[in-house]
Amino acid sequence: MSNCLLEVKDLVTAFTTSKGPLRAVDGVSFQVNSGELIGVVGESGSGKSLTSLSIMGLVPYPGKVVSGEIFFEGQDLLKLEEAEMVKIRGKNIAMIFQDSRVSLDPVCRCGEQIVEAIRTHEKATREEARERALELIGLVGIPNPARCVNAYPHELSGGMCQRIMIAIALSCRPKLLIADEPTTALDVTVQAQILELLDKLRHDFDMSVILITHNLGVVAGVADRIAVMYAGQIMELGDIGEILNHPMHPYTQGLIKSIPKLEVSSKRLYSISGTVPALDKMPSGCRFEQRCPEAMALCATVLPEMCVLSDGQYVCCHKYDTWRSAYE
Amino acid sequence: MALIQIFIVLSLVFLLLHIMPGDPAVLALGTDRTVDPQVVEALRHELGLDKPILEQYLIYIKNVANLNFGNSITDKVPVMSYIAERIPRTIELAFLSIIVASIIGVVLGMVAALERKKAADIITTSLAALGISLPVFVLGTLFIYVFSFSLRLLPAGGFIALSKNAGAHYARLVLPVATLALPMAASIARMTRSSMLEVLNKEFVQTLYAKGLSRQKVVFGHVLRNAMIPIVTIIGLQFGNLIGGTVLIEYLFNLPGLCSVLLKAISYRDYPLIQGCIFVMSSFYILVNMFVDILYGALDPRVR
Repeated sequence: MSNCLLEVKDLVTAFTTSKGPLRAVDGVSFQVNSGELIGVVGESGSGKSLTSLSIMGLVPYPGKVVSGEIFFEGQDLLKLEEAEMVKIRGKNIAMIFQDSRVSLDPVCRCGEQIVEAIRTHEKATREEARERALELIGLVGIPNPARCVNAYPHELSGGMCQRIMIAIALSCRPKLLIADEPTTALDVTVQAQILELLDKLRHDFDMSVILITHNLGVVAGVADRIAVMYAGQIMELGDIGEILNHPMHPYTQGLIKSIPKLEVSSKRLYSISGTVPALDKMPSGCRFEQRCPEAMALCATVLPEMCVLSDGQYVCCHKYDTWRSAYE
Repeated sequence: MALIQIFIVLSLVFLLLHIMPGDPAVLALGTDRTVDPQVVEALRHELGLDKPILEQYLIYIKNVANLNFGNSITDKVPVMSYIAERIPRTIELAFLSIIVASIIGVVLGMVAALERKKAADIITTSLAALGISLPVFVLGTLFIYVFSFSLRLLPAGGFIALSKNAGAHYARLVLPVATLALPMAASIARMTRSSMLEVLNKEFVQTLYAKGLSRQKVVFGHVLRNAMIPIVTIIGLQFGNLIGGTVLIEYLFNLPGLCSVLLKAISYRDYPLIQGCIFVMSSFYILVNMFVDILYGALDPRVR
C-alpha cells in the first residue's frame, strides 16, 4: 500500500536466559497506514508491549530483537545505529506508557519535561519551548495550563499526568504514536476522556496510532483495525467491525464472549479456561491449542500459518486451511 | 529544633560527667596520695564543685548560653581558645576527606551502576567491600609504611601551619585525608551504585528514552538527581561523624586536632574542656543534619 507508514515484518524478539532464548515475540507482522488507529489486543504476556518496545528500539536487557524488519517510512529501524534512533524516538515515533504517574520524572516540573522533549529535537530557545509547552498543555485538555506547567507530577491526578504524557509525546508532531495501555491505570470515566482525546488528536495532528490494550472494549470505539495477539503471535488481524461482528479465530471468539455485559443475569461470566503457556513451554503446534475448544489433532503438532480470508483480513488457525488454498 | 537537640546533648554530657568516677580536683593536683586534703577542698571550692549539683547545672547552662565554657582545669587556658586553635585543623581534615570521598565514591558508584555486571562493576564492588571492611588504623599504618617509610614520598605526619608553609601543610594532610576518605568513598560508592540501579529500573527512565534523550542526558539530567537522596544521606552522616571520629587518625598521624584534646580532657576529668569539645562536636553534627534535611527538600519536591 502506498500510504503505509510502518511495516513490521516477521519480528522476533527474545530474552536470553540460561535456558536459551525465549521468544516472547515470535514472527509478528503487521502494518500501520498513515492516519490510522490500530488496536493491538491481547492478554498480559502476549508480547504486545514488547512488540512496541521493539519498534522504539527500547527492548529492555536481556531482551533483544533477533530477526525481522521494521520499516518506518521505508527505512529499516533495526539497521539504524543508536545515534540515529535517538533522532527518530520522540520526534517521528513517540510513545506513552501505562502508569503515567510513575512514567514522569518525579523531581522535574511537568512543563520542564515538555520543554526538554522539544529542545531535544528542535532548535528552540527556552522561552519559545515554554510557550509551546503551555500551548500543548492546553491542547490536551488541561483546564489551567499556567498552573500545570509549574506543577510536579505528584501534584496532579493520574488522568492529568497521562495528558502531560500525551503533551510530551505530541511535542514534536510525531507521525506515529504508540500508546501502551494508556488508560489501564485510570478511572473508567477518565479512560473514555483520554481515548476521545487520542482519537481527536490523531485527526488534528494527522498521525497514526498504535493503541495497545488488554481490553477489547477500549479499542472498539476508536480503532480502524485491530490485531489480536496471543503468546507472542498475531492470531487475527483485520477491520474492527469485521472482527467484532464475525470473529474467525477461536481465541478472538472467546475474548469477545468474555466481555461482561451490563445486564442482570444469573449466568456466570464466560472465561477462556487455562492460562497463556509459559515462554519456555511453548507448544510446537498452535499456541492456543491447549485452551482451544475447537482444537483438532493437527493443531498440537503443526503451527498454523497466517491465512488471508479477504482483503486485509487475516487469521492464524487450521480451521481455515481450506480457505487459504481456495484463495491461492 | 536544633537548639533543643543541642540542649539535650549538653544536659546528657553534664549528667554523664558527674556520674563518672574520678575527682577533677584530685587529678589536677597530681595523682599521688600525699596531697593535702585541704588544698583539694580549696580547689574544689574554686571550681564550684562543692555546690549542689542542681546549682552547678544551672550555672553551667547559663554559661553555655553565653558561649562561656570557662577555663580548663588542668592548665587554666580558656576552653574557647583551646577549641578555636584546634577546630580549624579538624574541620580542614574533615572537609577535605569528605570532598575526596564524595567525588571518588559517586563517580565509582555511577560507573559500577552503568557498567553493571561488567569488569568495571565487579572491580569497583570488590574494592568497595575491601574498603569498608578495612579498619582505618590498618589502612593508615599501611599508607605510612608504603608512602613514607618505603617510598619516602610523603611525610608520615605532624602539623605545619598553612601560613608558615602551604606546601608542607598540605603534604602532611595527604595521607590522613586518604586514610579517612577511602573507606568513606567505599560506602558512598556502594550506596550510589544501588541507588542508581534502583532509579534506572524506574518506569520514567523508559519515558525519557522514548522522548529521544541520549544515555548521557538521561543519566546526568535525571537519574543522578533522582538517586541523590540516599547518597546525600550517607555523605551527611559520615561528615557529621568525622568531627568526632578522627581520634585514631589524629593519633596515628600526630595531628593536633580537636579529638586529641578531648581524649586528654577526659583522662583528666577536665569538665569544662570536655563540655566545650562535645558542645562543638554535637553542634556540628546537628548542623550537618539540618543542612542535609534542607538539601532533601531541594532535591525532591515530594519531601517539601
